[in-house]
Amino acid sequence: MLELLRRNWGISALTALGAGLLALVPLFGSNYVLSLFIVLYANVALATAWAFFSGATRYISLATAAFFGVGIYTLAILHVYVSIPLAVVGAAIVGFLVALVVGLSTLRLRGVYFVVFTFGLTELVHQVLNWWEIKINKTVSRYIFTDVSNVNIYETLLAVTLITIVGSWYVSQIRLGFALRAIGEDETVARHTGVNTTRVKILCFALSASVMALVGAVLALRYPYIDASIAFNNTWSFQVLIAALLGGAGRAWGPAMGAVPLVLLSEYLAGSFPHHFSIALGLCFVVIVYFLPGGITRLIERFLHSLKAARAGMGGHG
Amino acid sequence: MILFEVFLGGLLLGGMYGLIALGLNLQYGVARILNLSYGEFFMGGAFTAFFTIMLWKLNPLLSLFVSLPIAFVINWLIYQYLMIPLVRRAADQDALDADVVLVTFGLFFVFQGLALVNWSGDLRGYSFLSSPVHLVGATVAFNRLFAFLAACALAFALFLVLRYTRFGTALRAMTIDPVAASLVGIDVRKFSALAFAAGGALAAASGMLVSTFISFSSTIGVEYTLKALIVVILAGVGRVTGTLAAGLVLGVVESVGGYLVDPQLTIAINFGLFMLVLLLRPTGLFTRA
Amino acid sequence: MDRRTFVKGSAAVVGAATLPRTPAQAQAAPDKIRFGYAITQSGPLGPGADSTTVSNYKLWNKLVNDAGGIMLKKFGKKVPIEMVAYDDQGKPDELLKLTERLIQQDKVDMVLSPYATHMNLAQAPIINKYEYPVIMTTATTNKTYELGPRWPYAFWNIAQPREASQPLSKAIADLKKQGKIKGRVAAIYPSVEYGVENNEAFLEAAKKDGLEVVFNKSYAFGASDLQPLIREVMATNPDAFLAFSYPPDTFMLTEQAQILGFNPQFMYVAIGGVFPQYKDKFGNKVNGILVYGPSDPKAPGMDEYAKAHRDLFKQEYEPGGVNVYAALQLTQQAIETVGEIDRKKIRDVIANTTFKTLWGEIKYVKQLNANPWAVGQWQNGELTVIYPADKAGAKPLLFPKPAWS
Repeated sequence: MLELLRRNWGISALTALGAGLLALVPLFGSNYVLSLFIVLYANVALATAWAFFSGATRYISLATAAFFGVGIYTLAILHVYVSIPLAVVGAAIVGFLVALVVGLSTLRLRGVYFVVFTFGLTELVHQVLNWWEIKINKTVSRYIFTDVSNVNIYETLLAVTLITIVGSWYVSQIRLGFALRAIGEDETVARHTGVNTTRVKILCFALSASVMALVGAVLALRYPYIDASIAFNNTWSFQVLIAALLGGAGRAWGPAMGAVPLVLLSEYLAGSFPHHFSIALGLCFVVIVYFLPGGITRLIERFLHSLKAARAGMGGHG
Repeated sequence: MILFEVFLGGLLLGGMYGLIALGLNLQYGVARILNLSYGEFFMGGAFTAFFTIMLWKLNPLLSLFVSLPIAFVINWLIYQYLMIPLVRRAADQDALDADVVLVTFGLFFVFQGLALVNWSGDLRGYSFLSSPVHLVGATVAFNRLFAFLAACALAFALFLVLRYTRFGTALRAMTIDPVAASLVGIDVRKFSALAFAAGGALAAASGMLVSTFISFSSTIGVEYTLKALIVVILAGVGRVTGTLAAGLVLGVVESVGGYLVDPQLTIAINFGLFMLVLLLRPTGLFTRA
Repeated sequence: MDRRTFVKGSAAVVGAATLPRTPAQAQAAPDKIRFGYAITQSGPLGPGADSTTVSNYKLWNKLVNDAGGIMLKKFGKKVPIEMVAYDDQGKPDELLKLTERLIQQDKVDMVLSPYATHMNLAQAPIINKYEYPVIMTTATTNKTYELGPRWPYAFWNIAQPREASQPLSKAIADLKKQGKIKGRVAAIYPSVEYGVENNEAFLEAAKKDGLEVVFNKSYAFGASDLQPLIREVMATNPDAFLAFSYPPDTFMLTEQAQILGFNPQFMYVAIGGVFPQYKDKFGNKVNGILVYGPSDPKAPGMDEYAKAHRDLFKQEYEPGGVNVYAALQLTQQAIETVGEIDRKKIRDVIANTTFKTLWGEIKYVKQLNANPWAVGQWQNGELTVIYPADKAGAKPLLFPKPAWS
């Protein structure tokens, strides 16, 4: 780890500085700014966690909402009995365990079959949980009354987001990351070169799911009221997928490059075209695909590349 | 006796599932484009039928003369001018899929938004063939029976086209291996465009038929895209004729299971069955292993 | 009178605190009163929000400004209003963020209610934190009875589960007492909060009233076929049938009951039963069906409201949305009583006044509308209001429901 830090001291220092500045936002920002950042962080963390597994292995998952919802429900159930931080950690653990079980049974599916299976999983969990609540508790709603402040939620989500990005980057630099990418390129070849593909896939799938559950649990601290349709709202799955594809799912910082502009864009559109929001957003998607091929990451990389080339060129002449 | 009627109802419901999925399987199986705006053409077909009967007081079946050509042309244009550039520039299938998901998701937003602005978001429904039909002691709704028969007829017609025409042979060849198909002189792009357009027209037709017994609004599309996708995956991508059969299985299990276990679990049973099949046969029910 | 009640919405404020009329002071009047709302426009809830809520916000905006605006006594002049609108996409996080944006960035004078129970509940803590009075026009939950003290700035306008269910139970019990009915009740409900809570509230009332509930099951919301369930209901031979349903199921089960020839003498469907589209689809077969959350089309001012709605949107109004318009009317009355934008005072006037609105008299007790229209019935092809029976405008129950013809 230290070795890695030393090799990338520039970017590490920049990240630490950025994180320090972001942590100070609550001192200056209004509650609106905090709310906006909270939504931003949630999207970035989810998209990064999604791409950590799905981007590298190319197993496109639509189960984000399922794990997100598991986190919300775990918090809603636990916060009555234990302290809030414990309930939040509990949510991450439950998310991890659920993903282990799911992973064991599903990761032999590939391509579109896996995609639609994970979508079905979200719906199934939603339906069964709803059924359970009605049969056992005679209600489908739960109330979460806490006095956690916006500032606490802000700082927690900032920490979660940073840890997710840095963790995702760290893993990409070690053996586990190489194994993940090998699976994405060709699973059979990976297996023949001695990668225990099943263990790698399930471990990473569960890690990614635990972040999703964690984010759900933290966000749920702001909802006084939840039910299954809020917790398992599958627009989260699509939104995260699109943010990651837009940014570029191949790098640790790629999904953030998609999620941030997407959240800001919808913030702008929701205000400027409240009655034509979906038309405007749809047109933006289409425009992005045709004019920004390869996502925003590729754009940035190309820019950096040309910068480097220009510098090299100048050095040559000087 | 009730059980028989429930079974029959499930069969009709399954016909509907098969019906809505036929076009998607044509688009995804043959043209290899996963069109997330598929359901918007379903919605368009339903609205055209609604306006035909409620505004112009005509038989809603006549609406097909309007909605089918429009859906066909729009889908052909989508393939020709939006998809082909993506196909051309894509490095591999994964890259193409990512682009296609983004673009068709964008189109879904645009079409739904346009429908919301122009047709408002009100829930719509009309009565057409809403009379009981008695079959061997059981009662079914005429409109559901009609949609079921139409689904069977369409699936059969599709089967004949695929089996016995030059066009159909080309499509089947492309489903199995697009590269080989182009090597033997099949104009893959042209036939893909036609299959894609025909799939969109089928979506509109199914929207018209389903709207006779299910109420709908401008945001209904995505729900049917996803329903159709489940059926397509269950049947096996590209298994156009297996689509109806997969739909029937889903419908019967959902109805009978819901009746025997708990009506609240119908949707859960539906997804549970789908997932179970996938785990046992990872590429669908009607594919050759 | 009609025109005045409707357009100005300020007639006869009973029992309002009468403030001394202060002459226009040196302080200048605001050039606008700004109302903000974040509501679902895209996503599955968009359609409902549009026809019930947003249409009334737009209509009210136009009519108030056509009349010159809202009278602010303190400045002695009418001030036009302006709407700031956002799309929350049906997501609670978006709603929270946009509500903060309305209050902190846009600095709106008043906030209007979002759409659907869970969104209203999500917003409640914020509007209370900033002390913005909001009348919730599409929120019902059993919890409202406890939430009043927690959220003093939230007002609940529509019939809550108990208010909506008790009159049904009582009506069946009365018919049973008169020997017109055996009192065998079948109730079904979708697997959503509204359905579950209304069903629970009904079961409670039915137990107290000594009714025999012969069938009680939930079904998956979004089901594509309810025929098997209706068959099961028919097998228990009930004489009263209640469905605490959502719009798509309301339509579907009405059609499938006809196909199966299921003819209960007493039939209730919940949300969607008041829609003009429901009547358009089923014609006179709707006669005798009881529905949730109606409004009285014969109420003073309704003809003009209907016409104005038709002129602006080229279609009929949604009767379930009249309570939204009423909430806007009483907000205007409260502002005019206070005479300036002082949200604390406006909140107190809303809490302590009996208002005359298009939706009848509205008076909040512990912030809960004390006597909202709960149950209506289609009679002779027209929507009528039935319960609460003691409310002005209520019609007698039509019994039995005519068989499907």
